[in-house]
Amino acid sequence: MKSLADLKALRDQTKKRLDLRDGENDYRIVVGMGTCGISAGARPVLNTFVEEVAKHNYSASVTQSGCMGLCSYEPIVEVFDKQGNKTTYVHMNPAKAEEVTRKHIGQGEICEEFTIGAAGR
Amino acid sequence: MMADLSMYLLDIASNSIRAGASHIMIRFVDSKKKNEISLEIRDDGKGMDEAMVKKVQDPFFTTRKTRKIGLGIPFFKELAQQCEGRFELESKVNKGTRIKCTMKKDHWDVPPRGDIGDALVLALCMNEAVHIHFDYISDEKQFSFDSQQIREILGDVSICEAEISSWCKAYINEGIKEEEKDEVISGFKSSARSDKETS
Repeated sequence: MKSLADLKALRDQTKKRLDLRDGENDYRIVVGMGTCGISAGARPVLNTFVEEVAKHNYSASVTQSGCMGLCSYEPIVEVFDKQGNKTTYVHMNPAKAEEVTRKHIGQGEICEEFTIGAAGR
Repeated sequence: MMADLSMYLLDIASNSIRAGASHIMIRFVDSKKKNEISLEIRDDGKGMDEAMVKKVQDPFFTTRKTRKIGLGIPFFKELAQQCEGRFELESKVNKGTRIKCTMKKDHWDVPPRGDIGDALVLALCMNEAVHIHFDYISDEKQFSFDSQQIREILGDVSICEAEISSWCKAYINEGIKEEEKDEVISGFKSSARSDKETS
């Protein structure tokens, strides 16, 4: 059985990992979590981003937003860089989320094929 | 209809967060004895007047401007009706809202629980300042999860950090897990098993 005492130890470990990162994040990942996003499968997408970013300790934050008004494109994920440039990824799933984390967040390469621009074509 | 109860939970809790609630109480009761499952969410958000309470139950109403329809509450109501249960919605302006869906436990249309731990932690990460208290009550056990208590342990570390959130999810799901007992369906299970063996 897990106890809250275990959480304290885990907290200290996490704190150490976070201290290795410095200052402002390079990227901000925003996952649409409105009713539409959730029913389209945004939860596993969000979790994949959180896990992958932590695994590689990338300089990125992962946050949630509400409905973005493009329900038929959900799950939608927006990635903002430090300059505020936005990339919108649509019809996301955990496999695509893993790839976006690795390429876009890890190496700075936008995954064009998953963007809203590519979906509209 | 949504796939599982955790999705309804997350959807209704996010309404509370958008309504500016600072405290959200969630109560999940699963009782075989009473043949009842219920999910109740109470908040101290901005609340609604009577006219609004009527309107939000209509599938073609939403307060949002990004799209024209809102389905969270109508879905929740439909779930209660479909499962021969009750739907309750009470609200007072500037006081808060209470919403409850009760279902007949053995009804065919009762959805599976889904990942309740995940839904709660995701709700917590929507706005970390919100205090969420969760109670689970069944015939055999009781379990509580209180975000305030967790935050006291975490100090300056966010509950949304990957390791912490996955620990909390597992902690909650362990807390509400019921021992599986072979019952009526055991006969079906064993015959399915013997089919496999013979084929």
